[in-house]
Amino acid sequence: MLWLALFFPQLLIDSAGTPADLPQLVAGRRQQRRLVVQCNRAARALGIHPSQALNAALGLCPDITVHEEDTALQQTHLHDQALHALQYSSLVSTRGDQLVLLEIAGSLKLFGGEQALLQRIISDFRQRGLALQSGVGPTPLAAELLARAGVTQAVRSCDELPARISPISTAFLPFDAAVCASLHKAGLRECGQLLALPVDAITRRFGQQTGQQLYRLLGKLPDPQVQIQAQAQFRRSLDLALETDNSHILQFTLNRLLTALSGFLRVRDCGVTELELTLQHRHIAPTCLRPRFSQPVCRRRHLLRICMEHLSRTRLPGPVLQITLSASQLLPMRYQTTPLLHDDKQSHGQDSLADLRDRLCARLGEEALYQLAVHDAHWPEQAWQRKPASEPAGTTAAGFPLRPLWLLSTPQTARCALRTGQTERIEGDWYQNGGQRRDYALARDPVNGRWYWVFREDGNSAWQIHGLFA
Amino acid sequence: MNPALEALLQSRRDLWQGDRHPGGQKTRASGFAELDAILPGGGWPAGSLTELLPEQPGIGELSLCLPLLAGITGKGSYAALVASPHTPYAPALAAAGVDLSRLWILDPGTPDDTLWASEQLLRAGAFGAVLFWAAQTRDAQQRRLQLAAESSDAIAICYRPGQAAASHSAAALRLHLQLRSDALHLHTIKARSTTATRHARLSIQRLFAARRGH
Repeated sequence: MLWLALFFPQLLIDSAGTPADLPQLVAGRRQQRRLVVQCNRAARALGIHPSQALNAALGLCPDITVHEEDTALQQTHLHDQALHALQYSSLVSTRGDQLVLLEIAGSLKLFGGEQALLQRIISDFRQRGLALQSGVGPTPLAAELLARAGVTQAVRSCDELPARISPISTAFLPFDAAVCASLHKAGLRECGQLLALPVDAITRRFGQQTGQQLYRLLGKLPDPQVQIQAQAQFRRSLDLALETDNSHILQFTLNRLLTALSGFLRVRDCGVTELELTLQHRHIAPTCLRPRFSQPVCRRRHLLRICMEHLSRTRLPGPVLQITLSASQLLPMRYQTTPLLHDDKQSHGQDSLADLRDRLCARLGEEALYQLAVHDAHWPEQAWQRKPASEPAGTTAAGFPLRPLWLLSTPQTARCALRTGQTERIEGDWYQNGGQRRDYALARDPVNGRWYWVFREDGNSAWQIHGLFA
Repeated sequence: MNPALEALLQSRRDLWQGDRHPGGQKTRASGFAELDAILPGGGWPAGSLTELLPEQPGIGELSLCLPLLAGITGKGSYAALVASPHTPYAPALAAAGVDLSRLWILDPGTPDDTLWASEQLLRAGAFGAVLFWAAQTRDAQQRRLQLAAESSDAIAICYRPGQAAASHSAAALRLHLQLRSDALHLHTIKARSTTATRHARLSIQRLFAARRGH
């Protein structure tokens, strides 16, 4: 296994959304002292560095932007980054509040080698406006150590690990802060000095934990990671810049939400079949729309088109203040495997059919589109079924006697005398139709010449028109 | 003829060509030899709008299209019935050889939605035939449907009441249907390559035979 550690030295500053070229720092409390915990490049240029006293930093730059340390917030930001990293590896975990770990050995082939993958990941995170240091190592702790120390050269096997980490300062060891401090006090400045000591001496002096951690670092003990799972819900709101019912502005806002949703879905390799769109109004109950899709969808264009179709059908009671988009059920995407002798046209047709079905259902309602199926029953009303439009199944051809093309939903009494031919008796099931009997016949309207399918119930002389031979 | 002119006539379907059938136009046999004989190109025109105008509903206008529906769905393409006045009866369609799993039935609530849905179906490309019932259509709507049919080479058949025969229409082919003494009489009100009215007679027995599949 090969681990990539992404260390975010100034996550709180980068996630705050303030201009990056402004000197900024994060202040925290360490043993009753206010210290600089994180600072950005602009602050470092002024001589500020982490673990400096806050007052000293303020002395160097009085108008520096100070963020308060907030571990919970930082964890949330870190979790976001870990979720984003899920698109590069299925095994992602977080460590502490500044580090994301990815197992990359399984992703190398897909992304075209180690160099390409690393470049892609790092530039992706840089584009998200995050300063980061990365390290690649054979164990999670080794990767973490390399990332914290800023060693960019990858270490690929445990054999070369001791030699490669020897020159690194022990301050970067991913151990407890107290242990690091006592290592420093004991005069162990470099990892090489620590590795030269017998492990039982380290255990005796710095505790059993430290010995085990060292073994994990060197790959002599397993170090299982708690894999993070993508949450199975999406919910996001956007406030509109101004209250409006203008469909262009609504579409613009909706598009932003759907772009986020689409990215969210793509990372999880999932799609949605149902969305909930809530439009908040001032003083009026919110408008709620529920677009549905026949198949899991993750494409933004498809999502937007169906949502806009729903929106255009809806009369808004007032201007919209805020749009909330939520998807509660994520379903795995179904991809079509392409046959070796690929028929391009066919698969394109299938794709657009699902799209078309969604569009039609969005405007006309779910009930308006259906398919017919033959049902094994003698009673004419029960000999057919509606079913939702779906993929084509096998053909159903059966040897029926002559049947009309149109069946009236309620039979009508014939107003004039009909010339009828041979009759066909159809009996209903005793448990459903009370054992009713009908004598069906083909009949011709003497006035306009149309052909009917008529029946006469037992003991009733009046003919009922049940179908038309259109 | 001038080759440039010939090329133009071949490439442009919308050029009026007297009583010559436009070369590029594809047709699909209707399954009735008598009907094919009066249709330009010998069948339902693909990629254009056809109007069927039955004198009254239920005289055999749907039977006329059964071989078409069976042929289209049997070949892996889709067909749709939009806003049919009554529920199409599945056993009868199955007996005529229509693959029900490739037939979509749509019940839009309003005439406008009927035309919209038909246009969407025609543009989708997967549908070989779209049959829809629309009593009133405006000129612009008909032209939209005509263009939609052209875009995918689908057969678009619009059912309108017989009274509409007198009004103008953008459809490429218009047929008037009458039931007279055990036979369905068909007249071409308008056909692209001819000015003369043509007439065909289909006996009820022939129509009923279509229902059993050939």
